[in-house]
Amino acid sequence: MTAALVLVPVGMARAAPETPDNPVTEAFDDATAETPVVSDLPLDPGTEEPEVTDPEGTDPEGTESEGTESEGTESEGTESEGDGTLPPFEVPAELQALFAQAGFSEECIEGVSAGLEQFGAGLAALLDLEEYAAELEAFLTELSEADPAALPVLIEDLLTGFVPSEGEAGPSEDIIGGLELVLASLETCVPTLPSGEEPEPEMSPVAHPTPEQPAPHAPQPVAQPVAYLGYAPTGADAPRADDTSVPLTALGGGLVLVAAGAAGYGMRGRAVRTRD
Amino acid sequence: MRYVRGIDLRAAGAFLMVLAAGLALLLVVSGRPDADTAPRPAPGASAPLAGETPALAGEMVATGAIQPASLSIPAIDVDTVVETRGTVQYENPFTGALVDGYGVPESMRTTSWWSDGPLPGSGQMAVILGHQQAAGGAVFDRLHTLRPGDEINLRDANGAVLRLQVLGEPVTGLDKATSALAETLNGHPPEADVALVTCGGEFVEAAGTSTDNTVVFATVVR
Repeated sequence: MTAALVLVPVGMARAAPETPDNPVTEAFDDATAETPVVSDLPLDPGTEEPEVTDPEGTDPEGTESEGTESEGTESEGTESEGDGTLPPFEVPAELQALFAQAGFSEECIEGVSAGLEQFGAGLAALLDLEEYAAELEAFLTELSEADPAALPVLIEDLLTGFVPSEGEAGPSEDIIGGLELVLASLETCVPTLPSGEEPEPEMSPVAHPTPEQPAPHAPQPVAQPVAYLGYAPTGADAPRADDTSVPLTALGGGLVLVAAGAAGYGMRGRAVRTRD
Repeated sequence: MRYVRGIDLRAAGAFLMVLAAGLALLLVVSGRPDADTAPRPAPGASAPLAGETPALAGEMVATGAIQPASLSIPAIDVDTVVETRGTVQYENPFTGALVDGYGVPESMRTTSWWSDGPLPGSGQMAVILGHQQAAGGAVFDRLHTLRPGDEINLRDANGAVLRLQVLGEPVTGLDKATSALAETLNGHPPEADVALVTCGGEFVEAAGTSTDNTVVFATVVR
């Protein structure tokens, strides 16, 4: 889609000598001149206007589309300042440092960064597409008043603007391609283990549960089996000496008999003395 | 000194006082709660280990393990205390070998719970032992007459009752000279919660005990 923003003005420029007074092209020129998207897309290295899409500014010399750009916005690299355009997406240095701390190699970090940049560029292009749709609506309004003879050319140029040219990536492809690149880079970052070796479960929260979280299959307390003994001397032939209830009763009875005997003996003695 | 027809009244009074004292002593001795039959907390008895639910007539029914303090078996007129006894080493009089055996109650009329084993109602089988005596008068003299379904009640010190019923026919003739008792207990029915153990067979004077053991299994009535 970003290519459309580039190609449409080109087509308009080609048609311009034939219809110098065409109000449609003038209106679109005005519209594209106001469009800030064209200059800040950091992709499309294979497009017709590499100077427009080259984020490095490697070809800052005059090109066909120079007239549609704001002066000094490309080579200076300051197109995002003050004109509402988005800067090229770059992976923050902090994130790269984080990758480095995690033990990723430089190649891995570069691959991931490239993928993220491509992903970010795709997102930015999607945002630009919304702005372009609004401009396109205005363009079509003016197109209805244009010269009918020039309409096929204009429409063809317009349609080619929507379709990315060969070797050119659209926004969605950038997003998908960026993600694939990130994943591919991450896959290469993971060290391959020798066959038969299990990956370490250090990062798995399940493998290392916190003390507050019991293990999902904690063993339940199980009653220990009982080993019953094999000898019980519960038989007897005569009452045990420790059965104290009978002796106590006999003791009480004997005491009564002794008391009675003593009393009788005393009475008898007194009776004898009385007779004497 | 007063005499009534040759009877010294002071001597008669002393006699009556001594007689009264003797009678009082006799009443005290005979009126004392029978140590063999009156339910009392067993040594080391504690509160019930499991929840209890109220039952009829204010009786608490234990729903879990209890430390037994008393035992009643209405079918054979047993109502006695349950003591606590652990494992004791004996010399088997029939083999001469030193063996680990169950501690038995001191009295012939009481029973004992094997405290090195499970508690009644714990889900594992508890062992309760009582004497059998050839001349009669022991608590488990008629244990072998129990029939399946006969009622057995165990109570803890707080009165919570664990209701059981006899499980199967009594197992008799377990020769003490063999490991028959251990095999029977270790191979108990899965639903058995209590094993009542006593002696059986002939009493051997030289050994000081009888030749066999008898076991009755019981299961908790839920």
